[in-house]
Parts: sequence; structure tokens; C-alpha cells
Amino acid sequence: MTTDTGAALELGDIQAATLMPRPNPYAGAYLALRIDDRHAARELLRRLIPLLEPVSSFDPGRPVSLGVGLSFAGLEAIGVPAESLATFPSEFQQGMAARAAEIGDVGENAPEHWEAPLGSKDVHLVVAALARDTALMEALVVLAQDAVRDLPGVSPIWQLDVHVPPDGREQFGFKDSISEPTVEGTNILGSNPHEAPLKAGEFVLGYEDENGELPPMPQPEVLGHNGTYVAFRKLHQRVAAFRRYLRDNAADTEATWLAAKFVGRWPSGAPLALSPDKDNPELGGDPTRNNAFLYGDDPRGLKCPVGAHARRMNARDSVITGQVRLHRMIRRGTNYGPSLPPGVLEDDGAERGLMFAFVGAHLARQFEFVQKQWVHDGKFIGAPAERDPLIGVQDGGEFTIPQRPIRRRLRGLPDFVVNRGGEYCFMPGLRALRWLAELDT
Amino acid sequence: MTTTTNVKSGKGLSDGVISELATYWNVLPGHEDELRAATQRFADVLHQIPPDKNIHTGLRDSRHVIFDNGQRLMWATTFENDWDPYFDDFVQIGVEHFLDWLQHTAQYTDVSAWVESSGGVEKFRLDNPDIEAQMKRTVGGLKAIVQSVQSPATGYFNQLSAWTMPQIVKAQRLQEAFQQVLDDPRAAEALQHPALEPLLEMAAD
Repeated sequence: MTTDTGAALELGDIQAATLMPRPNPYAGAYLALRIDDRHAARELLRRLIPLLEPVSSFDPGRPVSLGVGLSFAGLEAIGVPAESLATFPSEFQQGMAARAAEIGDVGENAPEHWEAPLGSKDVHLVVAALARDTALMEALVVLAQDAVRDLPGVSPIWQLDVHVPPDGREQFGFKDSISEPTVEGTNILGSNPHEAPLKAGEFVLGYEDENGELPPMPQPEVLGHNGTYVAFRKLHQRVAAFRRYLRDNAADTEATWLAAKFVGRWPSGAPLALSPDKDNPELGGDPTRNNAFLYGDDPRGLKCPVGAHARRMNARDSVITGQVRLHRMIRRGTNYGPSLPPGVLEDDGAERGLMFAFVGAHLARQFEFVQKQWVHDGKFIGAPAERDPLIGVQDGGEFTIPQRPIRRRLRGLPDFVVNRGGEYCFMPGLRALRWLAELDT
Repeated sequence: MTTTTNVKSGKGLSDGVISELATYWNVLPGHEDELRAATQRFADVLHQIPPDKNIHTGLRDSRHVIFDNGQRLMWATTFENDWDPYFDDFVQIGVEHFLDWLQHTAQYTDVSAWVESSGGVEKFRLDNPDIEAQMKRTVGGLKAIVQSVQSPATGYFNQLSAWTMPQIVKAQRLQEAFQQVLDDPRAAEALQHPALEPLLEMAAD
């Protein structure tokens, strides 16, 4: 499938972290910094820019990679003029914490329970650093810390070390980051050959989107063009509770089956749509086949439940309310914390989970819509009482597993994932970062 | 889709078992906020009517919209069957709820005159032994007022136009009962009986 149609993307100006798939395995870190002195922050940007790669010259063999984004408070702190700040969409201006009720961050997930400083106005600049292994990662973090040591006006205030293990599995034990959209004009192939490439404007500002329009872009143009939005969330995973729930609700031989019905894939990554009855590690490990499917031949969800996590997140050709292509996103998921050893059913108190990052040009239409409608509502699949069984705030919700002769309905689902905090960031193009670094306000 | 245009039933389109009625009223100056509150009260009253009871009115939905900078009000409803035969019921089960919001419209002058000439609101209560004659004698006046502010739809579509509320409510009850059956572990065995084959086909999802 070709991807080289549509508007000519300025691949030399788009941060590689926006569009390029990540290496696997890798180690990484998310660093949050507070800006107290805009001049120091601009100096930091000047030091970081040479380390950033554009999509055009990204070399997957390179041992380290950086991405840089700023929150709305960060753009204010670095001195972006008010008339420019006013051109950002309101949800970005408000920030993730202020949007909690909209996106389902309620109860335990509410901002008052978030890990400091997440959700505060102190998170200004976020650096995502990736390296091929932990040793390189540590060296990179030391370099980053050195870069701010003589800049007292910029303070590191939070760091989360992340990693993707060699088997690519997240904390619940399922292979992750399989489904990637094809972005028109990038020459980066997505993982589903049945999906037509998505317009670049869905992911990068300044280009036509799926509606044939240019998404609203922050001004001046030099700031907005080739930028995108990132929503990151630290999602704590209750692995022991997940395992206990499987044990309590399925016979021993069924536990993996039940988990696969929740997820929509088997632990190996093999999709239920292609392998409905048992795991198929060969299929799961084959990137040319493990995402090559649709749901149209399974309208009742007998292979993959219509409410399964993966099917909700990307309904493909399922009959649902809404247009799937208007709500696609680039997802980056990375583990944090130690794994819970296999077979352990009691929580050891360790913080573990998934650092989730959304990348897209429409915070409201993509990230917030998916959180509100596809994660926390079931009307779009004809099941108003059901939420995403894996990541939804359940409030004692239910989940239906279609099967013959009769369906199975689970009730009183607990929350398996809790949001520890996050933020909306704007990830500018390289030219925009230089513009920010040279501001004279 | 058919169009009903006789004087008695007013003007409106229908789709399947459902007909539409859209009326446009003039808001009395300074009454916008009171009208807004009254229309919400009207919706609250409708919400409190159990589905079974609401079947008697045939009402599928009701919508008030204040527009033109607070100067005009749209009251639009859809209902099952022809509205005319059921308008009488509407009046008897709660004309006071209509008057609550109508009093903030310019047309209330006519409505008020109709109420007075009809002997007052209490004459429409169900406990009036003369209610049937009262309705025959007077309700046409209110219909005429409503029809005087009615504009017919020029296009109307309702996805559920093939089903009446009794059918939908019955299907809902059947669904609830069926799901209760499916929650019983013995259901899988019971549904194997050949006579239950159509149900078994529905049991998988």
C-alpha cells in the first residue's frame, strides 16, 4: 500500500517522536520541568534542538531519541504572546486536569488524587527520551540533567522511567502497540493493510484532515505548522486484581480466554478476529499479519466481543454510531514499574503501569472523544450500560461476551486501571521550537 | 411517507406510525426566563409519566426551543397515530401543564379566553361527571389555536417509525426476561429444545 499521496509533508520539520514508530525493546524516561525564567527556558530549548531528529532523517538504528512538548502553562511561562496563546483550542488551554469530568477522570481517577506535580500548573516542559537500553537511557538522563544544572530558572520536577520489554508486553501480560495507522505522505507503513491511509492533517497541523479541512492551527503559522498535540497519562495497572478477577470468574483453563475477551487479543498479540478460539504466538509475533483484519465478518462479536478494549479503541469496519476514521489516533504505550511475577495474586504495593501517550491534531475530536464515548460509554455499540472492561471507570459495570450457545455477562466489574495524572502538551515542529527559543518577549 | 392535511388533524407529515407537529409561538416581552423555566417543568412532568401510562397519550417526544433572541418559541412533538383523536386525552390529563408555559406567549390571550368560555380549568378534570360533553363542546377551540401557529414539516424521518410504543415496551420486557433466563446456568440446556430454536439463535450475544 502506498503512502506517498496527498500534501507534501515537511518531514524535515516534524519531530520524529510525532510519527515514527518506537524501537522495540527500549528504555526511556519522561521528564517534566518547571519554567521560572523564560530566558533560561529558551536557552534550554537552544540546547535541546540539536538533539532532536525530524521524521525525514530519523534513524531507527540511532541509540537515543528525544521529543519535546510544552503545556499551555509552559507556553505562557516561556513568553508566548497572549494573542498567540488565545489561538490554541480551549481544551488545550484548560489542560487535562480541568477536563477531568469530560474525559472520565472521576472518583479515584480525579485530579485531587493525582501524583504531584501532575495536574498542577507547574508542568511546563516535557521531554520524552528514548534509548535502546537502560545504560544509554541513564547516560541520556544525566546529559539532560547537566543541561539544566546551570539554568536555575528551569527545574526538573518529575521523572518517570519507562521501558518496553523484549516481548513487547504490557503489565497485564499482553503484547502492546500493535495497531498503528498509516499516515498519508509519510512513507511510514501502518500495520493494517485493510485500512486506507489517514490524511496527515489528522496527526500534524497545517495539512488537510479527513474532513478535507485544515484543522484550526495555533498562530502565528511558524508556531503551529508541523506541530501536534500530545496527551500523556500515567495509568496505574492493578495487575493482581486483574489476575484475581480472572481466577474468580473463569475456571483455570479459561482465565486466559476470559482475559483475551476483555482485551480483544491473546497475550501473544494474536487478534481474536483471526484466532478466536486459542492463542497463536506465530500469528501474534508476525507484524505483517497480526493487525491485518477487520470486524465486518463478526457483527455479533462472537469472535471478538463488540465491547472488547481493542475493538472499542479501533472499531475498524464494525457497525457503530460514528465515523471511525475521525477518531483515530497514534498511541504510544510504555511500561513503568516492575512486573508482577507470574502467578502472583496479591498486590505487592509497587507502582506499575503504562505510560500512555496520545498523538494527534485534534485533542477534542480524537483523544477526548475516545475517552468519553468509546471508553466510558457503550451507546455507540448498542450497550449503554457497558464501558471499556480494561481501562474504563466501571462503577460496577458489566461486560458481555457473545458466545454460543448463550452469551456470558459479567457484572460488578472493578477498575483495573487508575489514572495517576497527566497533561496536554503541544509538540511543536523544529522551526517552531527555534521560534520559541528566539522569542524576545 | 404520507401527508395529513385535513383541517381537523392539522397539517403535518407522518412516517410509519409516527406523525409530527411543529408549532411556533410569540413570547411575551420580558417573559423569556419564566418561559424557559415553565418549559423545563413541562418536560419534567413528561419524564415522570411511566412508559405504560404515556402509551395512552401516544406522545413520543416533545421539544420546546426558544429562538429569535428570546422572542419566539417552537413547541414540536411527535406522536403515534393521528394526534387529533388523542388531543382530548392530552387536555384531560393535564391542561394545567400546558397553560403553565402557554401563559408566557402572546397567544395566551386567545387561550385564556378559551379557558374562560369553557368554564375554567377545573371543568377539564377527569372527576367532572360532564367531562365528555365538556370536551366535545370546547376542545375544538384549543385545537384551532394550536393549529393557527402550526407549520408543517417539509421533510420528516424517524428511524423507529415502524414500531409503536406498545411494541417497543413489550420488546423491552421480553428482552429483560430473556436476559434473566440467560443468566441462569440451566438456560443453555433448556434452550436446546427444538421448539426454542429461534430463541437459541438470539442467545449468543
